[in-house]
Amino acid sequence: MSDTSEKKESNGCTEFKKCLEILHLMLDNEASDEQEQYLNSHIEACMYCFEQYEVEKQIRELLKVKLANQVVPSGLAQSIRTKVFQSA
Amino acid sequence: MASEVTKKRQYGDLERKSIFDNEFLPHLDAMYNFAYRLTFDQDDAKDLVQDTFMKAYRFINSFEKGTNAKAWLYRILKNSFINDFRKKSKEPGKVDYQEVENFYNSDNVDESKTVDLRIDTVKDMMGDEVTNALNALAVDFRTVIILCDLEGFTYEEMAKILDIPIGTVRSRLHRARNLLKEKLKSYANSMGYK
Repeated sequence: MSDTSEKKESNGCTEFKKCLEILHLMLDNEASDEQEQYLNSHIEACMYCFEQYEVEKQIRELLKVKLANQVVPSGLAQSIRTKVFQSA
Repeated sequence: MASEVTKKRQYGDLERKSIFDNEFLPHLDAMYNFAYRLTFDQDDAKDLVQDTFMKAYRFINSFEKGTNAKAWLYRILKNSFINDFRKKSKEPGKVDYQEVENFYNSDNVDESKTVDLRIDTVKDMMGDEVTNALNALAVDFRTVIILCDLEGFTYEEMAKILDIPIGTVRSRLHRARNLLKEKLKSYANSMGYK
């Protein structure tokens, strides 16, 4: 991954680096209002960034919804509690 | 008499138990899952979680009642994993720590790079593909995605849990997400998605 031709990758989006950064911040709920406003209006015009946004959003959904959760062994809470309260 | 100047806490026995039951234990399921995602082994996960709760109770006076217990517990868990698990591990090949240390050096990422993954490809994906892709990541990268996207910690909380600067949280997340997309893309290709 030593390709440095950013412009080609960005498919015509001249502000791609900024967009990508804000996109992640937004989806992580870490963006400022100003940044959100910027990106929201940008993706209305820029198809590439819009798609990147949707892809990232979808991946987060997949992780939240479809990732299998382990069944916690029954009695674990109680056994931990007992062990912990017995020590010191 | 408790001194306000030194702020040295000393909870009474009942108070300690109450904090443990009401503020710590509710996070057990989430912590077990996190431990499992670090170790990929049910017994190890159980040991790790138990060890974490033991330490949490032992050092409970460092915890301010009513504050962010989850982040505090996860920090202990993560540290236990790194410190104790490495020593106790009977199968050194199981978790590649060399890989982890290598990646500590690769946090300087070019933030303009991203993997070209189409929305159509991702929409059709199932739980297995995502689970496999996530589990295939080196533990450091897997961890930041889990903490951020699954557990919902803020960057600041993650910085505290992992003991790294917020800037590193962001760059590591960026790199982890690109790696995840790469895995997803290669699964898609091998499955014959367009």
